Amino acid sequence: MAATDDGYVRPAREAAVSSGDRGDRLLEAAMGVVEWPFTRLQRLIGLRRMPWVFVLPNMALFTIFVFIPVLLAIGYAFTGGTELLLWNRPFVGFENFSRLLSCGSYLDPATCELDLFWTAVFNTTWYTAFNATGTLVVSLVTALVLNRLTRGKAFFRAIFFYPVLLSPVVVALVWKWFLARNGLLNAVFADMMGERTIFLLEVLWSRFWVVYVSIWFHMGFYTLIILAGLQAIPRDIYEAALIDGTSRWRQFWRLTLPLLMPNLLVVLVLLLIRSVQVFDEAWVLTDGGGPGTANTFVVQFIYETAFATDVRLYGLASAASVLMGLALLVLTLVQLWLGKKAEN
Amino acid sequence: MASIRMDGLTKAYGNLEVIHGIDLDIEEGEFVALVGPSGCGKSTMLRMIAGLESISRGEIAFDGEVVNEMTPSERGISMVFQSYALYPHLTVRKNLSFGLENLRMKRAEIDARVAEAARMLELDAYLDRKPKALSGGQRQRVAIGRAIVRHPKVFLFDEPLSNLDAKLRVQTRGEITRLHRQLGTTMIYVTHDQVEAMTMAGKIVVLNGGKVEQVGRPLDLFERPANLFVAGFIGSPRMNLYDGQIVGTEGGAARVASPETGELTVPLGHAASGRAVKIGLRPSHFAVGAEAEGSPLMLDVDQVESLGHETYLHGRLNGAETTTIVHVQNHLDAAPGDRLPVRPRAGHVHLFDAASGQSLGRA
Ligand SMILES: Nc1ncnc2c1ncn2[C@@H]1O[C@H](COP(=O)(O)OP(=O)(O)OP(=O)(O)O)[C@@H](O)[C@H]1O
Ligand SMILES: [Mg+2]
Repeated sequence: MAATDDGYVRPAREAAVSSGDRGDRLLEAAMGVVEWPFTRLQRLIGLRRMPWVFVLPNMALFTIFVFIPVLLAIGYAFTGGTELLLWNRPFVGFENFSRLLSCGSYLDPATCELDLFWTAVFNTTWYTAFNATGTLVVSLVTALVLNRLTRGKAFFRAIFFYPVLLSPVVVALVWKWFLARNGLLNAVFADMMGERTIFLLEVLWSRFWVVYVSIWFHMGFYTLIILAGLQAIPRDIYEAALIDGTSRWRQFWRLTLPLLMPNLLVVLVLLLIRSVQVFDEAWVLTDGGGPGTANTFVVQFIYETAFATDVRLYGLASAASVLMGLALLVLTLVQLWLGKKAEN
Repeated sequence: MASIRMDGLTKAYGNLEVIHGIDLDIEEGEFVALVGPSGCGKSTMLRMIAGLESISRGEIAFDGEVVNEMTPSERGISMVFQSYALYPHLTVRKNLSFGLENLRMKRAEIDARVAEAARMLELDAYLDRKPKALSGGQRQRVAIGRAIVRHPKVFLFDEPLSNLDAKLRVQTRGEITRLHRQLGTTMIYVTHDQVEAMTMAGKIVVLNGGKVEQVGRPLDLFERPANLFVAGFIGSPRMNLYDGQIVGTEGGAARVASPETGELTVPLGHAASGRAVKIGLRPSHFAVGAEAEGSPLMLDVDQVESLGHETYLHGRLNGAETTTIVHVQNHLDAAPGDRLPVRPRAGHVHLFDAASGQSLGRA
C-alpha cells in the first residue's frame, strides 16, 4: 500500500499484475471501476469519515430488519387485543408477561395458565441440554480424530461439513422419509426389531431423533471451529509433554482441553443460542411439534400464537419473544463471565 | 549422567535419506556441540537421540543400553527447544512441576526441586507468572529450568539461544556453561553458530549434509581442520582459501604456489609435484606492516573495519582478484588504497587436496 498526496491509500496492484493470472486481471479491472467513485468521495469528505461510508449500508439494513423490529416487539409485548398496527392497540402494561408467568407450580406445565408455553419451555430446555452437550461432545471427538489423521484430513473435513450447506427443510424431509413407517431404517432393521417402529410418533423416539438430526446437521460447523483451535495449539508443547512423560489422558485434560477452551466457549455460546432458537428442522421433521406437544418448542409457540391461529395474539407472542431474548442474554453473559474467569 | 554411543545412525523420510550412518561416541559428562549449516540434520539427529524421531537404521545406546525403542521419558533425557515450548496456560511453577507430577513424585520433593531450579536460574520472582508475561530471556530460563528439575541423564539443546538478542545470548551462554560445570551432566547442544560451539563445548561435531565432517576439541578443529568444509566453517572470519599447485618437492618439503600467495615452502612428505591444492590462511595468521617488513607479498587494502582493539583489512594479495581478509590485533593505521607488506605466519599454512578437499597437513 502506498499513500498518495491526497492521503488516499491505494491497494498494491503490482502483485496482481505481475502474477499475470486472468482472474487477478479481472479483479483488477473490477477494482478499477469500484475504486474511482470511492476516490472521489474520499477527496470530498476526507479519510477520517470514510469508515462510515463502508459501515453505513450494513448499519441501515441492521436497523431496519433487526434493531427496529426488536424495539417494536418490546412495544407489542405491552399491548393487547388483536389489532395488527401498534397505534391501534391498547396498552396493557405487564399483563402479557403475567399471563405467561402465571403457574400453580413452575415444575408442572399443566398448572400454568398458558400450559402450551410452559410445555414449550420445558421441551426447549431438555432439547437445549441434550443438543448442546451432544453436539459439543460429538464435534470435539470428531475434531480430535480429524486432527490426528495424517491423510484424508481435508476430505473428511469436507464430508462432515457438507450437511451444513443443506437447507433445514430438505434435511428434515430426508430424515422424515428415512424414519417413516415405510422408511429406510424400518426397511433395513424391520426383521431385526421384530416389528416396524413409527419413530416420529413415539415420544421418546421422536425426541431422540430431533436431537440426533440436529447434531448430524450442525456438527460439521462446530467441528471446523474446534479443529481450527486444535491446529492453533503449537505442536512442540506436545513434544515437551512427551519428554515430560505425560500420558495421553493427561495431555488431553491438562494441555489440549485448557488450550482449546476459548474455542469451546465460542462453540458453547453458539450452540446454546441456536438450541434455544430451535424451530425449522424440528417443526418439519415432527409435523408441527408432535407427537402431541412432545416436540413443541418456544419459537413454535411464538409463531403459532402470533401467526398461525385464528385469534392472533401479537402481544402475547411478543412478550414470549422478549422473555426468550432475556434468557439468551443471561446465558451469554454468564458464559462470557466464565470465559473471563477461565482466562485468569 | 550417561555416555552415548551412536552406531550407523541413519534417518530416512521415505526414500529421502537425511542422516547417513553416523558413528559417534559421547562420554559421560561431556559437553558436545553439533554444528553445521542449516538443513544439515542437526535437529533431526538430536530428536533421534531424544526419541522424538524414529531411527531408520543404526543404534543409539545410553551407557551401553540400546534405547532405540524407548520413549523420550524412558530415556531420561531433557530437552530445551528453540521455541521454548512452554505450556502457555500454566504458571512458571506449574511448567516446572508438570513433568515431575507425571512421575508421581511426592509433593515435598517436587517443591524442593522446583525451588532448587528457581534459585539456580533466578526465577523466584516469576514463579506465579504465565509465560506470556515473561521476557524472551526469562522464558528461556524457564525452559532450562524445566529441563533441570527432571535431573536428566542427558541434556539436549536445540539452538536454545537463537531467539535472544546478542547481549543476552552471551550471558546465557555463560549460564549454560556454568550449569554444565555445576551439574556435570552430559549435554548435547545444537547450533549453527560456530562461536557458540567454540566457546561452550568440550567437543565439537561438525555435520554437513547428514554426515560427520570432523569431531574434535574446539582448538583442534580450528588448528587442524580435516577438510575444506571444516576449514571454512570453523573460525570467523572464515579462512582465506586460494587455488594453488605443488610446484616442487625437496626432501620432506614442498613448494606450493598460487597467484595470491606466491611461492611458499611447507614441510610435506608425500606430495607429487603438479598436484592441484587449496592453500588456506586464516585471517589472524598474517604478520602485517612493520612486522612483515621485507616480505614480497603485498596487500592492496580495499576496506578497513576498525573495532578499536582490533582491525580487519579486506584487500587483494599480489594484485589477484580474490578477496583476502586479514585480522590485526590492536589498532592499525590503514586506509583503503594502501599497499601493505604481509607475511603468512610459519606453521599456519593449511594445504588441502583440491579434488577431495581433504587436508594434506599444516605447516
Ligand atoms: N518431515 C520431513 N520430511 C522430509 N524431510 C525432512 C523432514 N524433516 C526434515 N527434513 C529434512 O532433513 C534435513 C535436516 O533437517 P534438520 O531440521 O535436522 O536440519 P537442521 O540442521 O536442524 O537445520 P536448521 O539449522 O535450519 O535447524 C533437511 O534437509 C530437511 O529438509
Ligand atoms: Mg534445526
